[in-house]
Parts: sequence; structure tokens; C-alpha cells
Amino acid sequence: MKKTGEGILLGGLILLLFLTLFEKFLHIPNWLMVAGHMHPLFLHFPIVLLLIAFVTIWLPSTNHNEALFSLIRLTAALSAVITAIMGLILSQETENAGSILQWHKWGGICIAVLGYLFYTFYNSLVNARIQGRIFTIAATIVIFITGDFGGDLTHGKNYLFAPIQNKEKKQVPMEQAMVFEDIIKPIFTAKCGTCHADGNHKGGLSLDDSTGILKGGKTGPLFVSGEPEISLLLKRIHLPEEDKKHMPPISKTQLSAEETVLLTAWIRSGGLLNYKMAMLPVKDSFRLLAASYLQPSTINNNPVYDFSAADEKIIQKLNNNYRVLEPQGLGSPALAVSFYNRNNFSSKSLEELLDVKKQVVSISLSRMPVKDDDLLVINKFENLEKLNLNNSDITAKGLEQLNGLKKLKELSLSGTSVTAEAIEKLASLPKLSSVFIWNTKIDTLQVASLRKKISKLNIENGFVDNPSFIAELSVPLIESKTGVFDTARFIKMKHPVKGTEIRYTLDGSPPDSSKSLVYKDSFAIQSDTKLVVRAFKKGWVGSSPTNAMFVKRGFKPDSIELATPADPKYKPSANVLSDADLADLNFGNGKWLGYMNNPAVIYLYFNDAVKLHSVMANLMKRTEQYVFLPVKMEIYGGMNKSNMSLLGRITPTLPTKNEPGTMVQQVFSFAPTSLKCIKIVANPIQSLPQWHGGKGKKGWVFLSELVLN
Amino acid sequence: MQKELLERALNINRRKFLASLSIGVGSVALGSLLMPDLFGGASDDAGFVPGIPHFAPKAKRVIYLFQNGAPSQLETFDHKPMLCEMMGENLPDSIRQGQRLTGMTSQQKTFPLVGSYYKFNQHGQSGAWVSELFPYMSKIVDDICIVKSMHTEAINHDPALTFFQTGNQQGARPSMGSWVSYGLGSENKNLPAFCVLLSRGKGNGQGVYSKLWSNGFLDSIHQGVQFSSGDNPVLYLQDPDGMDRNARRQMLDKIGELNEMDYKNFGDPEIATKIQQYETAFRMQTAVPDILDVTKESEDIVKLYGSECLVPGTYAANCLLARKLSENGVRFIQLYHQGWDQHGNLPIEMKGQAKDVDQASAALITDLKQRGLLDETLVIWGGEFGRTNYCQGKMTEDKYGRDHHPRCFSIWMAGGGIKPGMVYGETDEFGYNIVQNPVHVHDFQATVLNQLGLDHEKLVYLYQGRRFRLTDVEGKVVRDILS
Repeated sequence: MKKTGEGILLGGLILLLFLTLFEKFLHIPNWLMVAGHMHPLFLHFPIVLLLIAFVTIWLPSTNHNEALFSLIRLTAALSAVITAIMGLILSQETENAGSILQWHKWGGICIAVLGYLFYTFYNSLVNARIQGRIFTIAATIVIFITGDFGGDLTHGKNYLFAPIQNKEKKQVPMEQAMVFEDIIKPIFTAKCGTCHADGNHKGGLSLDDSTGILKGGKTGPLFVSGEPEISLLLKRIHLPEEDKKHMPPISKTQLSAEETVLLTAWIRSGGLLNYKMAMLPVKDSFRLLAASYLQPSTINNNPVYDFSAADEKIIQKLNNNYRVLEPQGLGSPALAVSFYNRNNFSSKSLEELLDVKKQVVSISLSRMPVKDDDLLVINKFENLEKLNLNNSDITAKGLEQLNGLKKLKELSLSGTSVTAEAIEKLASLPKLSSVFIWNTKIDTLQVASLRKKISKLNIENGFVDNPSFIAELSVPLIESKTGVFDTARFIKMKHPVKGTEIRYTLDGSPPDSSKSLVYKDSFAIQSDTKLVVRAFKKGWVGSSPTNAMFVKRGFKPDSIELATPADPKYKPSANVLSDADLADLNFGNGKWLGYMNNPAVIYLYFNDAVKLHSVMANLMKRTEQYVFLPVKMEIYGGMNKSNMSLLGRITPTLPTKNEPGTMVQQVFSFAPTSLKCIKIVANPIQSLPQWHGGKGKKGWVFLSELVLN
Repeated sequence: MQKELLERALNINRRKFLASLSIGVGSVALGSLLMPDLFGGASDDAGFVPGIPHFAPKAKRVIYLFQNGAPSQLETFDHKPMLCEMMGENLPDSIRQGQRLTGMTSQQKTFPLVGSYYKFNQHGQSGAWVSELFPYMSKIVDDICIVKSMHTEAINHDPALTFFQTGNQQGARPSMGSWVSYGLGSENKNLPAFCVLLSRGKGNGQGVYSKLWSNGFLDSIHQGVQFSSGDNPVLYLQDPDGMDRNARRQMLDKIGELNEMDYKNFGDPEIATKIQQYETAFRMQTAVPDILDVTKESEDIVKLYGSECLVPGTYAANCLLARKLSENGVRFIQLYHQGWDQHGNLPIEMKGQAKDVDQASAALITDLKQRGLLDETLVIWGGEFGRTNYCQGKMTEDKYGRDHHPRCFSIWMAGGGIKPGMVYGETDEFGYNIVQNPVHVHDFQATVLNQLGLDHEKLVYLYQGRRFRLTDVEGKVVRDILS
């Protein structure tokens, strides 16, 4: 038995060396290839058995287990030889084998030889203990190296150490990026490199450099420039995953959709290699896609701190409605603290924070009554980076105490009484880069000199009222209700800016800053008034005018009858005609009666006779919206419905193109007449003029109020 | 009721089970060292702890100056001189590419190109183009980042607005501010985390609805609180006549006890929310009047924002108020300025709208900057979509209109870790399609959350059997514009 084994061992070894020597001439039949394919499975035996065998040399030898150990050594050597032969057979499948395969092959043969030597010369090795042990160590190293090469073959280059290596994509700015080096190669390396790079050239294809790419593999060239549809590379990528020729093979990591699109665009744009991305046309789709590919995939925004987080319970205890502690991010130990509500602030509420003084990196004390003494407490927050003291009660003197904040970057002092000298002293804080001093005593000259003296400091002094820039005042506010009034109306006005002078006219003319009436207190008006108002103040440009109309009404009808229907879309109650509201230019707001298909015929009734001398109708003109004045409007009056005489008639001239939309107060005046009934007839335009977009179509008449005097 | 009782029972059982399990946890923990996703990955919210950002935030707060109605990019920041040269020529089909139009212009026989009535100039060190309508904003271009390549999916106001605010064109999802409130909690516990301010310009307007600041399925404490301009800025906040603060306190204590009892019985989390809301409202009663008081602002500040800032309800006043709220720790302040829907009469209407917002928007940036707050406050200015490069309706040199255009529009962002003095993205010469660096609404939302220290893929809420995100299943942080 032992003899047979030894025989096979020697025979096998010789066969192995023979096959190696004449590898070039080898032609492996298919059935034997099955043995080759068993190499990745079988190789585990020699590794384990050889390692066990090597251990025996380190153990104290006893007689009764020597036979077993000897058998293990023999089996180990045998399995090493068989594995090596299988490997050699398998290697014949790969043409153009790369360097990794070569190294793996020679390593395997070496192991087979070492296994043989170990078995054969075991006795002498045991006797020469030191040499024997050195031998086993060396052989073990060879086994590991060869195994690693094998791993690289099946799983890709650098398989073993990949998990502990920095996998972050190298960041290359678009302007410097090269087509192949920075865009295409990283994809090839990650997804194809296992078999087609770094000494692995399966199918004769090497994707290491431009030479290999242009050469292609044994099936043909990799791509046809500009034609992704017929390019081999993309054909293989797009084959169904279960297809044998699909690339990458189904067992390997597949290309992402983004990468496939990028490769397609690359070939479409010509398959350039040593070419600068920036030289491609700006709108080239490959360039656009590459730009988004080059962005870092994830960004970890969390700054790193060298202190540990505070106890959750302490943070919770310190948190209340007026003092808020916020973590700076999930898992970040840093805290930002904000104080709210002036009345709830006390020095104690600041001191309590010292429990977490290491963790606090930002404190906001905006508007809090912080005193100089409190700054002594703040000075203890060694990791503080940002401090907001806007509008607090600190002074320049107190600021000197902030000498311990070695990490402070930003300091906000707007609205405090700090001085330029105090800012200058702050320059000793090593990290300080921004100071905000808007609304302080420090003037522009001082700011300029500070900027000169402390160049590292970014000093923000904010909006400075430029004397050459004069702002315009907003219009005054007319607080009285405008429109129709019955006996008298009080006019009340105001302007939000203090010290503003309000000037007005009552006749519709624009007021000026010198002659027009000055508004002092509210006043009453008793007749129709067109109020125009402007505001003035020294140092400001006067406001634009704003106006309001007040119309006096003598009588209100007791009832109103719409003898013809208003259009259903604009048909509020007839009472809108006497609601004392002139409304605005929005005819859809339920305050306007609208007529188009028929004339408006409206009756107003009084229970007792009244003496009238005028009727005012509030009409609308918005030609773009097809709203015109009536082509004819008539007013009749009498003591009853069946007995009335004409009091007035108008036929307004047609408006011209581009007239702005307005409300028109159409007044009918007549000799004073006693009346109990009034009839109003208004005819909408039946054919719009030639210049109008809707020429020939019907127009609207809108009516919102009738005022009787 | 049956369901709630069962829930309650299950809650108690779960607690007991978890308590007894803790003994075994030690040994499991050892094994899980190699399996970090074993527990985290399966949890409802994937490792999210409400109130703590995922990573260190660049911005602590957001002020979103929403220009409702969609200001035209072609009269604001996207300078297209070719449109002036090709004035009146028809929009080439090769540019339109069959893009769907709204019903307002789809019947038009021609699509005449129309250039900006207003001139553009380059400003600042960045050389950004800004239209002459915005003299104040022109001065702050070196502090802001203009994104010219925004695009959206909706073509009408309501869906587009809802999409911007909630990440979904149909309503019923939480608003951006609600997500931020949920993600980060409130900073100042005496004020809501999410506030809303409305103003209206004279231009053609579109309404805004409270669904835009709804908390959706999130806890109702995250709903936006609207501040109005009247005597009662926060509705139902004032004590009724005849009730003093002590009586209020006593009443709240008693109601609190009753609610506490109810909560013990039923365990409904909305009861706990209710208690919390009463308490916040009580503290707001003193905090809000203090903040709304603008009389103490210096004349410098009034000049900076324009004197309109003292008139409650104006855009300028809202900007000033936004600064004050932000300074006081409100996480998310949403302004809406209405009136930007210029289908016709664009040159005149836009002039008015621009005058409303220009000075105050720029002032807000300057004001935050001088207080050292700009680096921790993200300010956003922009509408819900863009406007067409062709004219809607009749066209004369000084009178034209533009329809809705979702394919490109411009917004700007400033502060909060956004690169200042940058112009990002590019549109074609027609101002119709994006040719470089498109930014989708979801990308924008992801970027805003990112600046607040929130990972938009992890900020999720389990509801009706699925996880919801502000960015749905899309969104990519626009890292190019981060400093």
C-alpha cells in the first residue's frame, strides 16, 4: 500500500514536470477538462494536509503515531501533485495567460515539489531540527502566496486586502480629467479587472491600457468607434445574464445602469482614450454623464471631534423650553446650544451648561441679557467654535476675558457696545476667522484699519446707510373706508415711518411737498372728494401718490327691481347697486352685475317721493376683457312705473386701442324733480370695433353702484 | 373603539415582550457586530431618530420666498438675447419637440418668439446676468447661487405648487416644512417649527391654499402655522376677553390632567400631541407679540427693507418678520407672494411684482449676513415653473404674455452652505430646453434636506403600509452647488 502510494507520487511528479516542460504542445481532450475544472475544489486538500503534515515536525515524536503521520505526509504530497496537474490542465483553457497565472502555476509546481521533498527526506529533516523547521515555514509561505495568486485569478486582483483598502473614488476635477484614465479605466478595473487586467488576459483581452483596448480580444475588436449598437463590448454587456457570453459573468459584480450608459455614450462619442474631458463639446452627452460620475458618491459631512459624547441623561436634564441643546448629527458628540426668551435667562442657566462644557461647540445668546461676568463662564467651553452674542449686554471690557476659546471660529457681536480695541485684542484667538460687528460703535474707518491690521479676520460690518443713496418712502395708508358715504365721512391717514409728513389734495391733483395741505388730524368731508396723498420725510424720496374716492349719497332706494336678467355668471343680488361699495376692477368678485345678451333694465323705487337732481352710475371699462361702456344709457323718472319721462341720455364714444382699464363714474344731472320711481336702461355693445381682438363679437356692460342725489 | 382597545392591548404586550427580551439582547448584540443592517434595515424608519439630523447640518433654518404664479425666467435671470433678435418668428418645432402646452395656448396657430422687454446687465464678481427689474438683487449676486436649469413635471399652478411643496402633484402629503419639523423638531419651543406668511402683489394672481402647508399624514404638530396681518396674527391664540393668563394656566392644567387620563386609557398619540399643542400655544401667547413688534427696528433696517416693511401684510413686512422668526429659531418659514402669473400685459405687471419683492428679498440676505446668520440660514427665491419663450395672445413690443413652461426656469438660493456667487445650469439659446446640469424639483428638495443635515432617502414615514419620502423615489443632491 505504502509502496504503491510512493510510486504514484513519484510518477505523478514526473508527469507534472513533463507536462510543464512541453506545455506548448498540450492538447487537452474535453473529458479531461473536467478534471481541470476540479482544480478549484481539489486544491483545498493539499493546503490542509500539507499544513497538518508540517505541524508534525514541531511535535514530540512518539512511536505509535508515527505510522499515521507518515500516511498524512504521503497523502499531502500526493494531493499537491494531483492538484498541480489539474491546475495545469485548467490553465490550457486560457489563451494569452497573464502574469498572475504564470506566478500561480510556478507556485503550484513548487508546492508539489516541496511536498515530495518533505515526504522523502522527512527523517533527515527531523534530525536536523532547525533546518526542518525553516523548511516548513518557507513552504507554508509559498502555499499562502500561491493561494493568494489563485484568489486574484478567480476573484480579481488584490482580492485579499481589498476590504481594508481605501475604496474612495479618486476625485478628479472635470477640467483635468482624462477620458480613459479617469472615467473608463476605473469602471473596467472595478467590473472587468478580475479577468481582463493586471496580468489576467482571459479571452486574450487586456483592458489595462490603450494598446490592449485597441487590440481587442480573440473574438475581435472591443468596439467600433461611434457605433455602440454593433460594438462587441456593449453586445456582451447587453446579452441576457444567463447567456454564457454575457459579461461580466453572472457570478461577478454587474455593471450599474449608470456605468453601462456611460460606456455607451463613450463609444458613441468616438471611444476616445488619451483625450482631455474638457476638450469634448460642452453639450456632449458623454461629457455630461461623466461630470455626474466624477462627483463623489457619498460625502460624510460630520466633522470629527476628539471628545466623547455627553451622558444622554444630562443633556435631557439641561434641555428646557428656553434652553435647547441639539446634537450636531446622528452619532456626533458635539452639541449646539440656543437660549430663548430674555426674561427666562439667568447666569445660572449658563453655568449649568458646564456639565457638558467639552461637548458644546456652538452657543447662541442672541438678545439675552448676558453680562460681562457671564463671559468668564463662556470662556470655559474649550471646544466652542461659534458664539453668538448679538444684541446682548456685554461690553468691550468683558470681551477680553474670552482668551481661553482656542477653537473659536465665529463670533457675532452685532448690536453690542464693543469697540475696535476689543476686536483687535481678539486677534490672539488662534482659530478666529469671522467677526460680525454690524450696528456697533465701530465706524467704517475703524473697520478699515482693523481689516488692515488683522488680515486673517473676516470682519462683517453689514449694511451701512449710504448718504448718497436715498430710499423712497412707501405710500401713506388711508384708513377710512372709501367709496360711497351718506352724510359725512372722517378721513384718517397714517404712515408707518415715524416723523413722516403726509400731504394731500381733495380735488384729484397730485400733492407736492411745499404747498399742499399737511395732514394733522382726522377731518370730515361732506361732498364728493377725490383724495390724493403723498408722504414726505427729510432724507427720503417722497412717496408716489395714492388716491381714494369718496362719493356722497343723498338717497337710498327702498327697493330695486331687475326687469331684465343679468348674465348668470355675474348675477349677484340687486342690492349690490345700493351697498355703498364702488368695488374694484375685478368683475368676478360678486359686486358687479354683468350684461351682454340683453340690455340692462333696472327700476329703483321709493316709498315716499324724493327730490333728486343727479344719478351717478359706477361702470367698468376693460376693453381687453371685452368690457365696454354701454353704447347708449338712459335714465327715466316719474311717480310710478307706467308714467315716466326721460331725465338723461348718453352715448359714450367708443374707446381706442390700449386704453387702460378703469372704473367710470357716469353722472346724469337734471333739474330737481320729485320722483318715486327711476328706470335705468343700458345697452351693451353688440359688435366690437375693428381694432379689437374679438371684432364683431358682443361686449359686456358691468354696473356696481347707483348713487342718487 | 374596538380597534383602539386592541391596539392598546398589543402595545402593552409588546412592551412586556421587549422587556423580557433584553436579557437575550447581549448575546445577539455580539453577533450583530458583523451584521450592522440586521436590525436597522428592517425597522420602520431605517435608523432615523426624529429630532436629530443624520449628519452635521450646514443650515439650521430655511426661509423660502415662494414667488407664487411663476415669474418668467426670461425677464429675471435667464438672459436670451437671441429671442430679441428673432422677435416674432415662430418657435421652431425642433426646439418645442412636441411639448404639451396648456389649454390656454395649445389652440394658437403660431408661437411667435418674444424677447425680454427689460434689459439685462452683468453684475458682481460672478458676472451673473440680472434683468434691470431687480436693481437690489443685482447687488447681492455674489452672495447667491442662481440655478437656471430647474424643471418640473406639472404644467398648471396648483399641481406644480403642490409638487414643489409636498413632492407630489396631488395633495394630502406633508409639506416640506412639515418634513423638516418632523426631521429636526422645533428649535425654539415657544414658537412653531413651521410658519407661513402670505402677501399679494397687484399682478394676475393665483390662490394659495392651506393644503400647501399641511402636515399630511405626519403628526399634526408639524403643520404650518399661518401668521396673518390683522389684529390677530395667529388665529385663536389670544385669550378670550375676560380671561387672564392665570385663569388660562389653571384651565390648561385641568384639561391636561383630563387628557392625561384619556391617554392612559386609550394610548392615542394624537392626545399627547394635543397636550403639547396647548402648551406651545400658551408659550406662544408671550413669544409672538414680541416678535411681531417691528417698532423697535432701527431706521437703517427700515431703509434696508424699504419703508413698506412697516406695513403688515406686505412682502417687505413678511421678509422682515421672516428674519425675526428665523432669528428666534423657527426652522422653516414659508412666504408666498402672489401675482406672478403674467399671461398678458407682462411688462407692466412684472414691473409691479418686481418692485414688491426686489428690495426686501435682497435686504433679507444683507440683514442675515450682517448678523452672522446667513451661513446657517438657507434662503430660497423662486416660483413653481417657468414661462414660455413665445407670446401668449396678442403681441406688441411693450405688451405681451407668456404661458406656463415646466421645462426650464430659474430660482436662486443663498446661505446655508450653498456656494455663493455661482450660476448653475444652462438652457439653450431659445430659453426653452435645458442643455446642462438639469435640476429636478426632487433634486432641489433633496438638496434642501441635505443642507439641513437630513438624508432625503432616510427621512421616511411609514403610512398605509409603505414608506413615504418628500422626494418619493427620486432626487439627487446637487453637490455642485454646495460650498
